[in-house]
Amino acid sequence: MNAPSISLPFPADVPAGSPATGDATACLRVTGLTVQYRGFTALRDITIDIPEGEITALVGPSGCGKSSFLHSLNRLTDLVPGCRVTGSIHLADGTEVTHPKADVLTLRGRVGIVFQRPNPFPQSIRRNFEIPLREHGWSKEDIPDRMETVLRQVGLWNEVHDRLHKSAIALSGGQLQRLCIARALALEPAVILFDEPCSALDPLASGVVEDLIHSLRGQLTIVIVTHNLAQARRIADHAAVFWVRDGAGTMVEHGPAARVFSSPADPDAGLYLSGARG
Amino acid sequence: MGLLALVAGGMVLLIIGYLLTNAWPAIQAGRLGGFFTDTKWQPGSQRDPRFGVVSMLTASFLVTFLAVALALPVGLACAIFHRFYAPPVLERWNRRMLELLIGVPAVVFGFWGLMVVVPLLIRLAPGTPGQSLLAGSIVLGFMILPIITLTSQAALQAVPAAQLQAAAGLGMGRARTIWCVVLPAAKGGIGTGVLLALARAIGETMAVVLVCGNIPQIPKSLFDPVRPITSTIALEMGYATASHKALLFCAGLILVLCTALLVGWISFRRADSDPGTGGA
Ligand SMILES: Nc1ncnc2c1ncn2[C@@H]1O[C@H](COP(=O)(O)OP(=O)(O)OP(=O)(O)O)[C@@H](O)[C@H]1O
Ligand SMILES: [Mg+2]
Repeated sequence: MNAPSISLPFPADVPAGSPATGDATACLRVTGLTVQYRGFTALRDITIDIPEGEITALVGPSGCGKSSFLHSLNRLTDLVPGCRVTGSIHLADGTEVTHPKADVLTLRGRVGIVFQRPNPFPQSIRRNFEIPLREHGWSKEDIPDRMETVLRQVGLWNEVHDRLHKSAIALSGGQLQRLCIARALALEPAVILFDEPCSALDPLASGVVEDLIHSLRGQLTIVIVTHNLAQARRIADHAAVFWVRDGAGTMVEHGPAARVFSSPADPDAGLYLSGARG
Repeated sequence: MGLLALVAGGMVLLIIGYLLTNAWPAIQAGRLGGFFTDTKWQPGSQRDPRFGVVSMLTASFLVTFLAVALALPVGLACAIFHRFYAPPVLERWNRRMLELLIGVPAVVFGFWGLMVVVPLLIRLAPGTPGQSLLAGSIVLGFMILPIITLTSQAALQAVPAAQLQAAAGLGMGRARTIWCVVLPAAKGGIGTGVLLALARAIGETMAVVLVCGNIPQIPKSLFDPVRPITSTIALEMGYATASHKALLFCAGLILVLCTALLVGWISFRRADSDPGTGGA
């Protein structure tokens, strides 16, 4: 699974001397990230480089701050009143995600997210693409082609091409999740964050979505939160284990997935990954 | 519970039955035809009795629809402002005010219309009496404004957070999120509010008696005086004698049936509209 990472064309202005976790350049550099909800520290002092074009899996027990971490990567934490994020997050092109004046809407176009529960707009399939694409400045004429491309990419085109004008919510759960992935892909993001994308799906649909995510490897950077350790083992190049320490979520282990899963240094992580705890 | 529901449902039938028995003499006397063919309303006249209600029915519907047309954009804008733009303190204050507005008696609205709206319209269109279709619509519009605002706001609030999160996750701004995601999802609830407002407005009597001018005619302009059916009933019931009274009951019956048709038609359309769009 952990094939040597392919090198991708990448902007030159990556901070020099990046302490790479793997052998790829960092696409997202997170430094000293702390997330608080009205004074309650959910996540403390996370520092990690997310490698370009590869799959990074975040695992850990419930409530250890995985979603908080993911949401801070594209500023969805802004939606939560009383949520305070400190530390810094940089994109490879130098964009400072955490900067108070960052263009959040453009940022979210570049760092997309797919949630646990598929959340299509309860409108036609076509509208589900038109609405966000129009927001990001696509012209009406270009939208059908873009929609077809991404629907083909997620393997949904043959299933829905004759019902694009029909309501999206008539699709099955697995189809909906693929629709949401296609919708996120349509904006041509550099990164997609997946927050437990398979846990609301049946095993079969889950497998399809997992294969789809795996097939995106190399095209864009993927960060996936999953409770399914076997899944993480199957698809991840890099892994990070989150754990609650002193009442706050921290990252207790991270590195190449093969190493993290085979010989974790942290005892809690070891027990968790062996299935003995968590 | 079931029994109480039956009482509520039975009440409607009881009222219609009551109207029907009282209207019966007029129906029996074959005067129903005149209701829709006569152009004048002079039921008390000995020499030439005329029973045309078309002008008054038209007035009722015109005043009502115009009131909704005025109140809907304002109420919806207000609801959107409250939900997505206003600081919580302002929102709470404004909502309290609107709740108070619901409690203001119709006669006070009518009085306000007479003292404020009517003179304003006279100044706006010199030579007109001021008491007019437009005056009635404005006053009614204010009366239903809180209903539309508060129900719309509830509908906006009922849009699932997951939808807002989806829109935010796609990098959508507030304006497009409201326009393309929230409003389509809330339109069912907003429609219910409009329906309530329509029903409230069409039955309204006291305010329209004071500001509409009470001349039974089909208006040619917004500034023409009109006389909705409710006004006619309120104004004439006091002195009406037997056959006249039956005619007024007939008019009331027609209003009830029209309202029922309206409500039925709108809820039918809503049930019929595309199933993908959620809402209340
Ligand atoms: N909006 C919020 N307001 C207050 N506290 C929150 C909020 N969201 C999360 N928390 C708290 O922050 C901590 C981390 O939550 P988070 O959702 O990030 O964990 P998670 O690892 O994603 O858990 P799960 O696996 O259950 O999804 C939890 O203790 C949670 O109660
Ligand atoms: Mg979570």
